[in-house]
Amino acid sequence: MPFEFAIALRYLRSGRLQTVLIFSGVAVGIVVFTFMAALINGLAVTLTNDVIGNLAHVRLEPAPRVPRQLSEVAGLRTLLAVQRGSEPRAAINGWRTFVQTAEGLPGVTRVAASVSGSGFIQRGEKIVPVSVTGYEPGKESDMIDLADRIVRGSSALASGEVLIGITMADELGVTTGQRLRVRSDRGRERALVIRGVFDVGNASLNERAAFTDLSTAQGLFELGGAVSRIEVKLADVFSAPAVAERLGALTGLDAVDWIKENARLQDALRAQGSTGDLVKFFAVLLIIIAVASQLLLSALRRRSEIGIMRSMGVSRASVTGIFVTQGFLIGLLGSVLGAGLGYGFANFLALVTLRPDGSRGLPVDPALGEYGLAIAIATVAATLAAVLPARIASGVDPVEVIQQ
Amino acid sequence: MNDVVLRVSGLTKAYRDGEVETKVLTGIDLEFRRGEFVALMGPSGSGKSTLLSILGTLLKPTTGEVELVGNRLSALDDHDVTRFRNQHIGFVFQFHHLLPDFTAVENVIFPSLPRRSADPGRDHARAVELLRRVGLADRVDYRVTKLSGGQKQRVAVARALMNAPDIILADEPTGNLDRATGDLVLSLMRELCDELGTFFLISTHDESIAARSDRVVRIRDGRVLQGEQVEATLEH
Repeated sequence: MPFEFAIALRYLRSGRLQTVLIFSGVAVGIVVFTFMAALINGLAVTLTNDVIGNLAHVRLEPAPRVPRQLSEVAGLRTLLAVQRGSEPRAAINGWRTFVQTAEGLPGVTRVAASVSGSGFIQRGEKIVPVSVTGYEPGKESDMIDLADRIVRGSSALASGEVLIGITMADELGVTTGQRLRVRSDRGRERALVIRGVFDVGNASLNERAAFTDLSTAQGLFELGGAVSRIEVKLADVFSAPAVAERLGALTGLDAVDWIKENARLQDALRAQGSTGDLVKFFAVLLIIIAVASQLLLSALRRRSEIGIMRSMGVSRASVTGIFVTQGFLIGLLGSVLGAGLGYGFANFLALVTLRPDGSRGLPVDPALGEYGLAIAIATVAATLAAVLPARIASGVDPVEVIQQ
Repeated sequence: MNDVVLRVSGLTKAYRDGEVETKVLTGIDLEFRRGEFVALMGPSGSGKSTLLSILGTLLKPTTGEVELVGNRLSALDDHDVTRFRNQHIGFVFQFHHLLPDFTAVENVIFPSLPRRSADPGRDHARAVELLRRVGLADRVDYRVTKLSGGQKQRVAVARALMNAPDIILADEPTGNLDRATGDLVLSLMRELCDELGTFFLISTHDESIAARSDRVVRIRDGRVLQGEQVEATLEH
C-alpha cells in the first residue's frame, strides 16, 4: 500500500467526528442524487408507459398513393398541379407476409394486423361516435392490455362481438350480452353483441373506442381480406425509430414510430430530466464544497505536521497525494453509503405510497436510481475537490512551521 | 582522507522587504567532520536557526555554497533536494514535532516511507531497535500523545536516526525539557554520535551542552565568531 494511502486512511480514522460528518454530508448528497434519479426516471417510465401502453410502438400503414404525372416531357416546363387521388380506403393486401417480416426482426415482441375506422353506435334513440378497431382473434390484447382491463365480461372476441369502454357503456346504458348497432363511415351496418366492457384508464378510449374481431371490422369497412395497418410492440420502446426505419425499408410501407408521434411527450420528459439534472448538479456541487472545506480545514490544522513531513523528505507530490487520496476515499465510501441509503429511501417511499391496486402513488422506481453513476460522479468530484486543499498543504514551508 | 561531511563557504542569507534588505547571515565558512559533536551557540536572533535551516536544505542561501557529503546543494532541484534531505539529514526539534496520530514506532519509521522500501519488515525491525536503543523498548506501540516530554524527544532522536543519516541537526533539543531529562537526551545523542559516527550539530543556548561538545561554533549578528571574539563574548 503506498504510504500516502496509509496516511490518508489514518488521518480519516483519527478525525472521527469530522470524518463522520463529511461522510454523512456526501451520503446525504448522494441520497438526494439517487432519489431524484429514481423519481425522475420513474416518472418518465410511468408517463411513457401510460402513453404508449395503449399504443403500438411502430405502425405500418399503406404508403399514400400519389398520381403519376403523365404529361412530363423532357425539356419542357410543366404547368400542372398534381392532386392526391380520391381512391378507395388505402389498405394493406398480403399483410401476412409483412407480419412475418416484422416478427422476424430482433427486439419485436408482438405484431398484430388491424382494421380501423370510424362510425356510429346506435342504441335506441342514442347515437354516439365510435372508433372501431378489429384484431385477429387472440390478438385483442397484444397492443392494448384489454385482458387485464376488462371490468365486465371477457376480452376474447368471436365474430359478431364487440368490446366497449366503460364510459360508453354507461352513456348508452348497456352491459355485456346486449346488442348494439354499429354503422361504419362506409355506410355498412351490423348488430354486435357486447362481449366485454373495459376500463383502460384513458378517458378517450373509454368513451369512444370499440374493438371487434378482424373479419367483422373488414366487413364494416369494406376491406375484403386486407387490413388498415400492422401494429408492432417492441422490447425497447426507445428503439422504435430504428425499427420503424428498418421495417419501412423491408416492406415498402409507411412506418411511423410512437416517438415521432408524441414529440411533446419527449419534450416534457426532456424538460423534466433537465430539472432533475439541475437538482443532481447542485447535490454534487454541495459535495464538492463540503469536501473542499473539510480538507482545507484539515490542511490548515495539520500545517505543522505537514511541515515536519516535508522536513523529513516527504515530497510535495506525496503531500498532495495524501490529501487527494483523502478526497477520493471520502467520495467513494461516502457515496457508497449514500447509494445504499438512497436505495433504501426510494424503496421505503415506493412502499409507503403503494396504492391498494398495486400502482404507485409516487412514481419512484428504486431500480432507476443511477447508483453506479452517482458513486462514480461523487468519487471524481470529491477527488477533484481535494486538489485545492492538497495544493495548499503541499505549499507549506517547513521552515515557518519549525520556527514557530 | 576525506571525512568532511559538511562544508559551508561564503554563505550569506538576506531577506528583502521592498527596498529594505535585512542580512541574517554574512560570510559563513564552516567545515564539519564525520563523528563530530558540535554545539552551535549564540543569542536569540543571531541567525542560528536560519543557518540550521540552510544546512538542513530547508532554506536556500542568498549566496555561497553548501556541500554535503560531497554534493553541492545548489546543483540540485527541489525534488532532488527533498530526496537528498530524506537520505542524508535527520532533524531533532525543540518541540519534538512528532506526528500525533501515529505510534512511537510509526513515527520512527516515517522517514523511511518516502523511500518506498522493498522490505518494510526490516524497516520496522530497525525502528524497534532504535527505540530500544533510546530506552523506549516498552513504548513501541504507544501513541506518542501518551508519552512524556522526555520520551517524545527520545522518539524524535530515534526518528532522526532512522535513515542512518550523515548529519543530524538539532535545534534546542533540550530547550523544552527539565534539566534531568535534558541531560538524559543529550547523553543519548552524544553516545549515538560516538557509536554511529554520525555528525551532530546542536543549536543551543546552554553552556553545559557546549562543555560536552567536541567543538563550539559561536555565532553573533549573523557572523561566526573567531578566536579573540569568542573570548570576548565569553568574558562578557
